[in-house]
Amino acid sequence: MYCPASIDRPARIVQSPDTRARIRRADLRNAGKREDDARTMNTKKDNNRITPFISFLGMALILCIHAVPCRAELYPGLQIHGFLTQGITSTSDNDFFRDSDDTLSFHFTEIGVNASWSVRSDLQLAAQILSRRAGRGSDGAPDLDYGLLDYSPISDLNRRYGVRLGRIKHPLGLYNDTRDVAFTRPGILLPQSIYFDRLRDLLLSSDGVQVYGERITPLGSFTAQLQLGYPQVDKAIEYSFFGFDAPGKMDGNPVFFGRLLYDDPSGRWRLGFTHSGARFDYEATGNDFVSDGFVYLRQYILSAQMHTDDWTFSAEYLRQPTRFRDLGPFLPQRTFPLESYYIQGVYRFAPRWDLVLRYDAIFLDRNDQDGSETTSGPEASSFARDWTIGLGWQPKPNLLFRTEMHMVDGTAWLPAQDNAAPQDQERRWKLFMFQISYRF
Amino acid sequence: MVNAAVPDNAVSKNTIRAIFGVRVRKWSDGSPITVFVLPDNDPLHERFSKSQLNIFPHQLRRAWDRQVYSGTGQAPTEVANEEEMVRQLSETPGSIGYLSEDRVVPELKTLEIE
Repeated sequence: MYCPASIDRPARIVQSPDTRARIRRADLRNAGKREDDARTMNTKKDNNRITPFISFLGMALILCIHAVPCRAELYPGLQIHGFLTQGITSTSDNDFFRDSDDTLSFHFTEIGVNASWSVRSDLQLAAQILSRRAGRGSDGAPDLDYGLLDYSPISDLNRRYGVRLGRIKHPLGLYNDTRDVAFTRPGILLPQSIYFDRLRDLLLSSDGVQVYGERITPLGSFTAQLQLGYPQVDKAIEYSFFGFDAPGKMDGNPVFFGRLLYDDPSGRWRLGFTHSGARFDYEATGNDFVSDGFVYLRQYILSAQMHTDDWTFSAEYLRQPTRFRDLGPFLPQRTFPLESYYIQGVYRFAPRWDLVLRYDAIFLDRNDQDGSETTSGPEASSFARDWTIGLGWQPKPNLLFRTEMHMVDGTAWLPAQDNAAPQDQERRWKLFMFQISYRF
Repeated sequence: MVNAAVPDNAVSKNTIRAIFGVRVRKWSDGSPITVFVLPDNDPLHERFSKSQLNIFPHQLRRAWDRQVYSGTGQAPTEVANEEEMVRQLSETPGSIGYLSEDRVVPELKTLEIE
């Protein structure tokens, strides 16, 4: 919420008769506007019966238009927000977000609309619908991004303990919770070494339960979140683990995510630790070259962030051992000791402008950083080193333009669905991106 | 500045930062906190963030965005100017905001930051 939204916001409890009268007038005004909004939406909906997606788009646009000047609180305790992002991508070699090699790809669109309702001060309901079109891996079909009930029975000035139920975004690193919201990202693409699109479905969210605690102490503030749930994984998870779509079935068990965040008393530093674990059982079909077995993946992430007047420095380090067990001779018993990290500086050199500099590296096997010992593809497919430089301009609080260039050595995080076989991929490639984003 | 019904008289710097970051949401007696802020680029908002909260407006905005777009919280209510701030603070029990020194009004309470 960034616009003067609540000029006529009705206060919940008022003290004087004069104030009560004023609030009643405000209520009537709001009711009138709500009816107008509803009428506009209905007319639009009738004209737009083509596909649910189009009407969803239409609704998002209506909400956008109505959001200027926006009134975030439509009803006491109810807030509606959303965002719309369109990107343009081009690559010197290889493809990113569909066909981008020496051409322009417009196949990157993110649209989200969310509502949150603060039923009581300790009870909140929230949900977000997200449509993400990003190459062949994400087709833009609207999906429930999160939908949860948040109850915090123990809460005072120095602590808040509670539980969340439903579809909950995974607490992972500095950026995962809002990874599809351009305004919360440093740059257009998040560092692919940690927030790789290849494992997106697994890392994004799960249906389950999260317990959390916030504690404010003289030594700083602590936030702990523990989550257990079923992620939204499909056949694509086989691409992530095996590099191909195996004939059998991959069954997910509940995944675990835990994160501890610390904010120091000066307000400048934030440190974090994330741990996650996920086990997937593979069930072979009759004539399968993969046997019944399982993949067990764990993550350990250290995060750090520091702010100065003009700079924000961030760095994260990930260790991700992935164990293959009993999958047969084609996928021998072994552990892939993945290691990755990035370091990033965002320089706010003028009001509304920023410059993003980042070095981002991933090694699928940290003992074989040049890929010379890899058996599962060309050398370059086992690592990626990415230098990024980007520029952001936010002329208004709800409007953001970004452009950036990646100089990449290695193809480890190149989306498999968008590209030819690994041996036909270029080791050194450049990625150019432009993005416009609006939010309300 | 807080509404006169707020039970607390003083809070720590870490706590005031957590209140404006919507991380803690109740006063010490369990009554709900309502936060009012001026727009991000308002000079008073900037001054208040830096000198009283020790953080930058963009950090606050990031903290609110993280909650708003992950369904874990709601952003504070933004008011257009200080007159509006005074009105909202007087009318909303348990509310907190800030005013420049020459605007301080007797019906509102001043919260000490320890």
